[in-house]
Amino acid sequence: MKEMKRENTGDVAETVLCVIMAIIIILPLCYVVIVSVSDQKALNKNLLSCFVSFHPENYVKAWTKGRIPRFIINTAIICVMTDALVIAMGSMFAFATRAYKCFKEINMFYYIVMTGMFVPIQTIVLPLFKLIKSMGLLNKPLGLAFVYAGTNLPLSMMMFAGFYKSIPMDLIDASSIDGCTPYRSFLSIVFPLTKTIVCTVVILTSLNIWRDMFIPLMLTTDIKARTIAYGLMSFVNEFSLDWTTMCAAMVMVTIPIIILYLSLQEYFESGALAGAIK
Amino acid sequence: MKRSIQARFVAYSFVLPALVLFGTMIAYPLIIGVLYSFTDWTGIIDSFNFVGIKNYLRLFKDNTFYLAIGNTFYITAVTVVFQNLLGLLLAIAMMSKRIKAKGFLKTTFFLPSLLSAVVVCYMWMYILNVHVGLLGWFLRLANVDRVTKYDMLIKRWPALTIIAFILVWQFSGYDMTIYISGLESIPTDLYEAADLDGVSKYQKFFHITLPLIMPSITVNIFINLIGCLKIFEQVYILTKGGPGVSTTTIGVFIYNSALSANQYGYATAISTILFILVLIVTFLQVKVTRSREVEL
Repeated sequence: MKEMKRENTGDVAETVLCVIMAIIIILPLCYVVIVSVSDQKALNKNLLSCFVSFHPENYVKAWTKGRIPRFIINTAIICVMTDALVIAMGSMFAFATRAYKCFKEINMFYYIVMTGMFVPIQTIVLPLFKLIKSMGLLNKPLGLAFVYAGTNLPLSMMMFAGFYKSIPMDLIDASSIDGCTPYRSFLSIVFPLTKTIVCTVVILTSLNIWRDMFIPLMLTTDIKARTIAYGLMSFVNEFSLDWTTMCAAMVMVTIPIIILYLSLQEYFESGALAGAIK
Repeated sequence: MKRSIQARFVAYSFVLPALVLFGTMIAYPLIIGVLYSFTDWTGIIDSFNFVGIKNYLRLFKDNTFYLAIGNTFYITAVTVVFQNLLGLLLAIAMMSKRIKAKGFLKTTFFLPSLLSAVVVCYMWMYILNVHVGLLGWFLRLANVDRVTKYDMLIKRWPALTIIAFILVWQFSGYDMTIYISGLESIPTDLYEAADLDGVSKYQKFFHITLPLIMPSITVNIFINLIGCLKIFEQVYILTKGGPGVSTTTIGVFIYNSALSANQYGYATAISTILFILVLIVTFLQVKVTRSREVEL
């Protein structure tokens, strides 16, 4: 009986924690959404006025005046290029660490690339600017895509390597006995097994790019080349007192990434589970 | 013999693209960056002179540097402790059988970590603004005269605490998902055996759960540490390192030295120190937490 009571108090504490946490997370987000459809002047006088008026034109204003379509297209292009790079390179590298374990230096290369995780972006960003400029890629999406591919490569490799560990060597051996070249057995046998990992890497890499402000801040000089997070910053400087438009912009830039997450959520949760612990 | 050379060639062809990318985008800038830290490069013109360790000597005499390290460590300590505590508690709650609507709650808790720092920081700025924000409205309702007294972003310690709070608010759900996968990997028969022996709930937590989720703790603290030590965006948006330099972190200090003061050589010296700092702290952390991991 006593045990029972103790368990109940535990349950109550857990429920209270979950409810409080959910409120602390949802209320500020709701505040932003509500402000985004309110009238600025009325809002300054009385906060409760946001519940009586509805001004969707804030969104139109943010969309047309804030260069938001431009920033979203930039970010999407960079995301696609980076995702393709880190998935191709990460999975190939991880395959080599599994299929060619006998060569010790492959494993050494793996650990060398993994040290990239420890390198703060601040340490390399100033030389990167010079490098990108000398390659003629300044303010071009490809330039930022290469940088993001470099910073996201260790994560992608770790995810793929963690998964390939669980693939039986027999599978690769059998295919080579059947006359497959190593490239063929990688492309048509091993890689197709990694759908969950591909989705996880796509989400994590795209999230990193979508959220990042620092790299475009340091590596772009033209406002038209900015990605969404830094674009939003320039928006703030222009509309600093116009909070309703700013909030509308914030809601708009957040929606695409939430859609991406929700549509790939299942894969992401099982993939993150496999990769994170190993 | 010939076969092994051929196999090696194939193996190298698989790793070469990644190695080239890593070499040009990480290793080369890192080495060049360290070299620049021994020069007086201004960033405006391409010419520079080697000045030896002058930048480092100046750095160790610079009070702002120690202030930045103190601020960074404060934010890191508060964030890592509370984020992991909250993440673990939420994960345990999500494992409990009697909590309803788990899918909804999990997505809600994870949601903030999808947002960009820019969005999150402006959101909290609007909420905490004492003139026109949510807090300001409440202060006016309460007829408070000197509202600036409640502006938490213009004083050093409150501002740093707010930054840590925002990080915990945003990322404890991320830690939660990693803890959930750790908790799910614990075999349930361990708990059943403990129940038969009449072990209390707290003993079960400290002697079964905690040792077995040590790998998740290692991963979480590692990710949190790396993120916090190089913190830039949140500070840059919320306080710009001010008032004065009071809330400057190492990341902001590097940015200001490079772009505001045009001292790229000096900035790369600071960033080299940051790299070494990250290496030492994460090495110690992984060593400590790894040693507490147990094999089943």
